[in-house]
Amino acid sequence: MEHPTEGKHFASEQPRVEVYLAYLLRAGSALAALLIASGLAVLSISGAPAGAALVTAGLITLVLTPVARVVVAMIVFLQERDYTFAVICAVVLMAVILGVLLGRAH
Amino acid sequence: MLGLGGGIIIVPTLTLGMGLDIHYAVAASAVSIIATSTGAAVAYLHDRITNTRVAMLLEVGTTLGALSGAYAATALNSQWLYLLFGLLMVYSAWNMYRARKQELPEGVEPDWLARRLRLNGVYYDQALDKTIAYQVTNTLPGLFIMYLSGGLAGLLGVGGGIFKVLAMDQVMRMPIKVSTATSNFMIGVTAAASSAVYFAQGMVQPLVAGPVALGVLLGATVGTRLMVRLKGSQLRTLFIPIFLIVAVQMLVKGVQF
Repeated sequence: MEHPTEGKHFASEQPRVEVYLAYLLRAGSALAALLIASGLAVLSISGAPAGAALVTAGLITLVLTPVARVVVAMIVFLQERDYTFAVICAVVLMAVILGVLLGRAH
Repeated sequence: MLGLGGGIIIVPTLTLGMGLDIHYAVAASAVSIIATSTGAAVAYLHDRITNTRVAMLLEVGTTLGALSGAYAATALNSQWLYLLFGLLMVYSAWNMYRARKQELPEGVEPDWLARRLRLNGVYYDQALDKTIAYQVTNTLPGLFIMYLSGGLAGLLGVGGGIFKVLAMDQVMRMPIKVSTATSNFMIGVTAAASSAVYFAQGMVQPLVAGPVALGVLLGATVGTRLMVRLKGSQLRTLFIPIFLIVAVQMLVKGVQF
């Protein structure tokens, strides 16, 4: 990829967060898909309750992935001493946790 | 593919098509929105189409909006909120129609906040086969719209992806591809929060949500490949009817109360 002239500091800083996040999201979705698929397979073959448990585990993995994404981004921003964005991530994280505790589905 | 999540399609399919209780359908849809977001984000991050800094910043607006949205909505009178957003969508659809030939926004001057937070970005455009550098403007108005939309999403029961695209494309003047990918990235967090609540309430049925999530995970990968290859102008044209449909729905709700 050619290097653009504008925003060159961006090109050197930006990838780090994104590389980590891409890894995390890929791992999360692959694990979730695997758990759900194997759970459904178990259910369709034997109908054992373990199948439903596997599917549920996959769904929980899926739900936790975006939350983990905010945590990872916060850690990366902290490492880069980008405190403004670390605080931004912390606020988002707290708002999400608070929202879940208050039990308000949106 | 459009960064919207697809709740508009999944809920009617499950309730009307399969006769499922609306609560289970909404829960399954919330889980599947995470699947869309996560499945698609990987490809977008790879091409650096997603602007993670803008995403994180705007998430402050959406999450706080969702949290305080119910109060804000009652204070503001939800009828007015529906009308306001309905008109905003009509106006945006008109703008998109006028600018349908335009591939990328031109002459965008970053505001002080965008400068301070270094929101500008660079991405690789497959359709144009070149690297595009862009600026971001009107950060505070964009954040405010996100806050209102976070509250409105709770009322409407949709992920609100369409308002995110609207704010980024029309207000913050980001390229449509970046707006779409960034919206897609953001809806995962909102949907995760609602899904966690549905889980706690026992609304997530493994046998319903499981197959839907699996299907969407696979589907999102295909949709993403397609979006990356589309031109910005083609993508904008796709948005015009969607904006109009949502606008009509909201205006009807605004008048009905």
